[in-house]
Amino acid sequence: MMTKRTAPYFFCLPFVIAFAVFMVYPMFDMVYRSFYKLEGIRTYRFVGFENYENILSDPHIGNAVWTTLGFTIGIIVVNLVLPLFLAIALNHKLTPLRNMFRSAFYIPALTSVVVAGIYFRLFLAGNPDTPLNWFARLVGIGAREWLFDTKLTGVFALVLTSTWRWLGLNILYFLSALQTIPRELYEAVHVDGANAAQRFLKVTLPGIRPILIFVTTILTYGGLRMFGESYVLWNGKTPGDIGLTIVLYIYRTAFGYFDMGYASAISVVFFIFLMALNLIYIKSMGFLGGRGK
Amino acid sequence: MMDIRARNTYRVSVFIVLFLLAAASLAPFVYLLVTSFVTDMSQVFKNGIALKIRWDMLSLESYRLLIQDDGGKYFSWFMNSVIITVLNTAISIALCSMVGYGVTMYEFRGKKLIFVLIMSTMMIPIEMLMIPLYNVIKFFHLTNNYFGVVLPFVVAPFTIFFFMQYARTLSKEFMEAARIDGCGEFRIFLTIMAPLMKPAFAAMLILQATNAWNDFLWPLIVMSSSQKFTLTVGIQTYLSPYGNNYNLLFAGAVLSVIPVVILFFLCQRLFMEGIMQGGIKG
Repeated sequence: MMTKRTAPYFFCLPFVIAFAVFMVYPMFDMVYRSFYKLEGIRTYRFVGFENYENILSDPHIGNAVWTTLGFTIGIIVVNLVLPLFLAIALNHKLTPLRNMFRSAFYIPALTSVVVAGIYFRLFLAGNPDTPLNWFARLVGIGAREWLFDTKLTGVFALVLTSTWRWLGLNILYFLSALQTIPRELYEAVHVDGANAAQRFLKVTLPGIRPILIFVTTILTYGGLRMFGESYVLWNGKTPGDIGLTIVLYIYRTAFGYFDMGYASAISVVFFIFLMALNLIYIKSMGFLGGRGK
Repeated sequence: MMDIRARNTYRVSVFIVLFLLAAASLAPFVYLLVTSFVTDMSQVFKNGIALKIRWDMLSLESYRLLIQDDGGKYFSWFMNSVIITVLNTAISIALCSMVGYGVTMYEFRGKKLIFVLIMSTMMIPIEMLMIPLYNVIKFFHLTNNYFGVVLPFVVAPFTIFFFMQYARTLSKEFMEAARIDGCGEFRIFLTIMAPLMKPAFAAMLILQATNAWNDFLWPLIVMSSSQKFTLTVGIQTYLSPYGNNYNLLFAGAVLSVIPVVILFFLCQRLFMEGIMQGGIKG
């Protein structure tokens, strides 16, 4: 029978097994492959660091990094600000139909990226009569083919499509944090004569700090690993690599051109970057300092 | 406090903003639904999304075509998605709640290490490991097999993390009391602690089920025979370099959304409660 000493190892066993088989082994396999190059159809040749050297001179890498970083910054800004203010509105007791709106914002999160792609490919199309182009003409930007105009409109398209599905869950995270702030705190600063902006800065923001860090982190990694929306919106080569993200480029190199070695090398470099970021994040959460919140 | 006029101004203005944003959120569904009844899809793409729809353009033709397509292929995709979603959700919730509970409620050597590993895997883009993962699945002869789709992602770090967060609110005194009564460690978890985490289970049931139902890339790689496709993979094949079948695409997309929406509305209250209580707290 399990004792108090052995039980935790039993409970953690599923994670340890899954981690070894589906994480550690594949990672070693990836590093191993990054030193090989496909020659002919099935033979691989050891090439040392050649794959890594190629990364430096590959123009697609720069494009993919540009789009990925642009998207990550865009998605963090939009998906922190918009859901936060919506959550504040949905948390306010004077707001009508709060539950209905909460569900309405969450429903897109239930759909697949394939469904999102079907709609947004048409929504972002070049036809001057689409709602988006109608609005663009109204504010004087002019109608355009959003998916194939510039890298920037490509990033805009990615942010828009992703926000549609991501918004609802982020609203729920913020709502859950807002509900933990005691009402008395608001009343106290209200008595002190604080206006809405001061209340937001002095009570709301500090009160939801942990969830702000959490959502920012989810958005950072969600942004950096962007694949799905990019795949369903463009699904092929684009002029100037519009919409090409790092993970999509890795996927295309591996499964489109079957250059597993080069794809693995890019993965390894990207991976090291993510792990460094990861360490910073875990430190900032304060979990390791022993004085976790 | 606000006077009545200020209150009403607030209510009306906030309602208008929320209404417009909610309308934008739901517009794609309305568009997909209405368009799925359009008989002649070439109309849709002449006009982009600015389609002006008249009643006489609508029929059930797309759905008839979908059901009859290739001997009811759509139905087998649907069943594949159901089986994969059920397997994934059941196994995942069982294992992840165990791990999340174990890491949080016990003090043991290696606790910090396991914690850091869970956090780290949460941030690894699994898309990057597709190539070696595919080799692992091939090694176990699990290609074109439901378990090949399910197993690699069943121990989901985010789900573990959520259970960890939730378990932090549980009291260890219950465990001590049960131990004194001679209750085994696994029974403590199963009969005493797990029921206390019910809202977390509800929240993760919905999240895990939607993720499994909507997963695209991995089933695309593992399932190569078209009989074994899931809905997302199958629907995407209606868009092909050899011509797009928009009738099947739209009707197929609409039907694929319905099950998760029903599940969501059935468990909505528990789900919202679970997410609200389980989120990161101060």
